[in-house]
Amino acid sequence: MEHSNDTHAKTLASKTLSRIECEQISPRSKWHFWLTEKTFWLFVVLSIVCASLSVAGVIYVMMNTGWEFQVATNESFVELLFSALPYLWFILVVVFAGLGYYNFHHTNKGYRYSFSAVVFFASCLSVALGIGFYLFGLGQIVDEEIGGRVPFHESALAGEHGRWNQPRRGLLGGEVIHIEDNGDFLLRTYGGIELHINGESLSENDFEVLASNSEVRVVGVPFLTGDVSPDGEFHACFVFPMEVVGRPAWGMPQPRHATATRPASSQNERNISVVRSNECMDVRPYETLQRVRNIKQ
Amino acid sequence: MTTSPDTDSSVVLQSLADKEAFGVLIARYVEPLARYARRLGVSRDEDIDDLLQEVFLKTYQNLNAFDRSLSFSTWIYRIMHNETISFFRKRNIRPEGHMVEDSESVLALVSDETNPRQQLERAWDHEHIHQALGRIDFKYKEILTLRYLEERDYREISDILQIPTGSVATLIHRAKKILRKELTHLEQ
Repeated sequence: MEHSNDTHAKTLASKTLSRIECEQISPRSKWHFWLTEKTFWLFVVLSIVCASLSVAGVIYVMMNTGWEFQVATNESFVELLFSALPYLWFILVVVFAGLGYYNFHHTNKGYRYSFSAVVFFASCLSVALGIGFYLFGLGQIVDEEIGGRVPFHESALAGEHGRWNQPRRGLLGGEVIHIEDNGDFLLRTYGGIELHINGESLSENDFEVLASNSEVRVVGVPFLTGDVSPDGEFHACFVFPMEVVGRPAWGMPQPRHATATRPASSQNERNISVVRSNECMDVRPYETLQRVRNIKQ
Repeated sequence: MTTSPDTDSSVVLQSLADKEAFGVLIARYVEPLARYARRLGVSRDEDIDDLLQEVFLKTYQNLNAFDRSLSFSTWIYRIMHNETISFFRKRNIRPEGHMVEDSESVLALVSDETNPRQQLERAWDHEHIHQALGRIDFKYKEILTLRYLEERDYREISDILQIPTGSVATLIHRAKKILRKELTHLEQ
């Protein structure tokens, strides 16, 4: 039996070596394997970086959604949540995490680590890097520059601008172009029209916001028929800043300097807690918005 | 690791310079790998020879990939594992039966450490175990073979199958359970 085994082994060895000779088979070079290993590692790193950028996008969206104004913009918090959630970035985090795991598993020793351990570690790393990327301003670039080009995806700012371009609901947002002496101001809305806004009911706090922010949110009442047009008017009841957080430091807009003040004749009459005019009485939820305004000051 | 002339690692180095030296490795591993192939369900001698040739050719081509932190035996068994799966896939056949020797280690295949009483009451013979092994999934058959017939430890099995050590333990536990269930069905 042993002799037979020896013969079999020798025969097979001989056949194999002959094939190696005939087919001119040679060992692949060390560089081939080195390059393959490094390529897998490169894709691991790229996957983590992409997942981290997606995390930065998630943070940017969540930080720039006007959650505190939900009482004015949406029927419920859940409604706002579902409309604002950055599904694209969540999906990409999962996709890149999956790619990262796949490539890690194919490195020389990657198979020794369990799926849960790899995913946990990669997730922690992605979140940590993602926070760093966000603080560096990459969240905005990711969400607006990249996300802005993806079909069916709405960037955080586009979503927020949309929520604040509902004049019939008493919600306007846009760029403050000019503030008049009597407290009225000209607003270029996110809908693209320039509107004259009646500021009769605004408080000192509201004017401070107007003076120090280039873009604002306005809660108020459209005049008469409820229709707003360039010839119509909008009666402002509250003004809130439209701040963008997480911008890259190099792209920060210069802060506006206060140039407008409330007309002197009515300054002593201002009382933040009192409904100033009949037009604002029906704005809902008035007290909640007052609280929000007071907090933000 | 020592590099005396007879160690597998030193023969690998020699083979890179002189392919005739590779014949030494082939001679060393033909019988263990052939036995392993039979245990996995490759029954025909011609198929075993074809499979082994492919394994040795792949091994030769990838000699520069040999990781010296592993034993050569573990590494060539890994190649054998991959080629066996390809073999069954290409031929579109199921593993046939299972070669089970008459040994104590075979009985370990069906031992249940959590239920020693059942071990005493059951007296599965090798023929039953042979049949049952032929009916369970390849991945369970393979891991039981590596653990109890090839007598590999968990780290070696992890390196051969390229799965985490924790998964090895889970798979072995599951495989034994399935094998015992299959044996019970056969009894009925």
